[in-house]
Amino acid sequence: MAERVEELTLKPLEGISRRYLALVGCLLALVALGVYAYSRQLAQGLAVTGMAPTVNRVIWGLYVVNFVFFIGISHAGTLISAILRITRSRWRTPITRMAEFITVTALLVAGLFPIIDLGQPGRVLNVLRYGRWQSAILWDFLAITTYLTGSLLYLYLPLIPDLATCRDRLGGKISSLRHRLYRLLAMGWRGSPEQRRELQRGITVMMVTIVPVAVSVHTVVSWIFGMTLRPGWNSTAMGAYFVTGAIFSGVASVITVMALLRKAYRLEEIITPTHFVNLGYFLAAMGLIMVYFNLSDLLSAGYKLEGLEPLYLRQILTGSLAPFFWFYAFTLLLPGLVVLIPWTRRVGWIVFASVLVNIAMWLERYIIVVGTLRTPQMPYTSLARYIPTWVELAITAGGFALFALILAGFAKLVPVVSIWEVREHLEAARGAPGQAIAASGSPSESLGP
Amino acid sequence: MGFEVRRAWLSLALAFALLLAPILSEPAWGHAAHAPEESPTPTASESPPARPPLEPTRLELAAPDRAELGKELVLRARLTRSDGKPVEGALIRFTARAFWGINYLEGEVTLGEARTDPSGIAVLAAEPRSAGALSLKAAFPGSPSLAPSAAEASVAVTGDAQLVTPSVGLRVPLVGIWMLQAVLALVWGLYSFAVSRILTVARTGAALARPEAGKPGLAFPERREILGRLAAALGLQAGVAAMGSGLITLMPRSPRTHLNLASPSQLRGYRRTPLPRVRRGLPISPLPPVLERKVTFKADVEPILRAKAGPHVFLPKNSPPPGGVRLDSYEEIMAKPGLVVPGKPEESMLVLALLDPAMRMPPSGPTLEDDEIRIIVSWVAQGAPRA
Repeated sequence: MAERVEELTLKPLEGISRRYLALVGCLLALVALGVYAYSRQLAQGLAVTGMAPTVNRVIWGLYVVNFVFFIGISHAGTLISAILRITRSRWRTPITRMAEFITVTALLVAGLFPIIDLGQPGRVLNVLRYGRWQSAILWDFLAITTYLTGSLLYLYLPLIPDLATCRDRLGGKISSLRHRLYRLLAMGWRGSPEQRRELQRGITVMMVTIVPVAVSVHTVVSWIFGMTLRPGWNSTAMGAYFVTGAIFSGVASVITVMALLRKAYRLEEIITPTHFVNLGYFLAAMGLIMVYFNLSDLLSAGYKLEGLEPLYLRQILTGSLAPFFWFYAFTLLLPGLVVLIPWTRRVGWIVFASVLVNIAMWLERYIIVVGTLRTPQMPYTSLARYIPTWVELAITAGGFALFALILAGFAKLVPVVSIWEVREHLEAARGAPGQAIAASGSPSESLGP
Repeated sequence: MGFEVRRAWLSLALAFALLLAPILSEPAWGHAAHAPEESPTPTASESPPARPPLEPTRLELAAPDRAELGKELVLRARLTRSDGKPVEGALIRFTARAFWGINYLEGEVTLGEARTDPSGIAVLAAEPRSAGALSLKAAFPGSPSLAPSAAEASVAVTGDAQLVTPSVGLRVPLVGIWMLQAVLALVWGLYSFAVSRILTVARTGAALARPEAGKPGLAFPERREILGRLAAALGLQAGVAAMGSGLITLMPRSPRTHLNLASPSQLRGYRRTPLPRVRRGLPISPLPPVLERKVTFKADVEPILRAKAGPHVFLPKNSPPPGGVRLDSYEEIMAKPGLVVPGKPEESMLVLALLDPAMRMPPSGPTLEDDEIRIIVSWVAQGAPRA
């Protein structure tokens, strides 16, 4: 079975199919469209977006929505994989790698959007030059940089043994440049006891460190909103709410990507319905926590109806943003229903629910960002208008295409499943449980042979 | 096609339909269609009731030409009847023109009210709150026998006094920025530890590489490869250490940032989108025709800039002028590359900033009259002479 895992995961790395090229071509075209739209914005300024200040008072639009969305997705990975690793859930082994991919990719894409949101991209350096620690923007900068570095390390460390496998098994089947890359990145891995011990120590430190870092990132992102006095944002629950929402959308995106890669790479033997159902339970639990947060927040704001809250709440509950809100509310319960009813507790239904959750969580960020900004702070007679222009829509499409493109690139460069962890999981299951752990001398699982 | 893929398409289609619904019913996003979402505070409209013919009055407003920001500014309004006799006891309302944001809101701010004395003079002490040209107005709303009247005046407000002194809200002993630094140092220290494991793995890997039997040492390609790996691991370690310490030192620098802002070296490095690219994309208004007469900086341009260029002329003490552009002297203007290209108004940023509807300088405060724009364009076109 261990050989079968290796064969299944290494096979796709050997060649590039026509379908893969077609996919990359389509994604590149979308990215190019986004780049073209951005060049228009660079030349003519933010006036080409729906956020133009002469048109309305909504100063943050799709770009910030996308930023928050991708930061949310990035929790998928690292947090889920770290939690599963810490709790030594053995079923996790085939999915951690994908989750870590998603984290790094989503963070890279998320980091672009605040820069796109600036009329003059060079001004992003002002955070370094003139940043004041009293500002939530600087906290954000610190947290995201720290998280990105940590996620890259956390992706790379468990990758080393697999890179060594690629180095040893793929020689001759791939270009010499790629082979040299594997040789460099595998860091001379031979699987010696000393190397295994050192690597295990590194992984252990990172998996513990990354959890609080991940939690801090989304909390700080929420403070960009929560540190203001605006209706809908002025809430102490904002940090916890954002972290939960991030895990919710993160799990949903792991399920979605997992389904796509499973189909494309024919990994049905490794990624079984159990994985989907287990993650489905996780998704359902997070959905219910989200229901709790929403009820608590809506009730305490809606009971007091302080200041502009009635205007804000009316717009999301019965006004123009109501379709978004109620769709979102429905998808909070959907995963719970899907895993509750036996005949929907299947891969197809769980994937269906996760795709809807992803879309709903994007809409939820739209409600948070745009809904509040449309609510006037000064004596205007009405809500502000915000209609995204083609530039914003094209850049958004480009951003999502870039996300898929980087993921596709990753999936062609390194095994999408952690071979050594699956191998070790299988060996432990075969009858020597505990042996591996004893050998490594670490509280977590040991490495493969 | 698999079951899950079909479901995914179905859900995508569903969501798009949902997304499009509100966008297509676009008027629903607008102003009028949403009565329940209307703000509870509609702007008041004033409509004075019709009156029988009244005795006309005359109001004069006296204000100094210049005033200092934050200092007292004494305004005197004199109300007289048509025969020149003063009106006593009339309530005069003093207002100033005010702008919020980029032409969002424009209106009058009441400075105060005062009653006229026996000589018909009402006195009000006001305090200018922003530098630049201040348009003042005094108005007599009228009485049962007297017609309303008004007068206007303009004051150039100079100075850069800090009018608001921020105060620390809460001081808790021992709580401070050092905590954030300590957390960051801890996290990056742990990262450093994890990265150092990679270096150890690479080192052990190098020790494991044995020379072939019968040979004294490793062949050159292997040795080079091992060195490359060690260098990569060391570079990673150095990178993490540099980034971590960079982020930690970013914070103690920050309380001084406002001083940093004012330093000329910082200003020189101020980044902007490359000018040629901006110019190409600008949908600017056509250049007005150049004036026949000779236009000079001292006589024509400087007064306009002093009146309308706000913080570009009255430089803020604690931050750079907007965009790093100083318009307070001839030398400063000519020193900034691209700001004024003598003889070529179409290439001068100073002109483009006035003609570009997206930029439309100044962003707040009274805008430039067409004549004033024409003077500046003519000055640049005539080679930007000083005097």
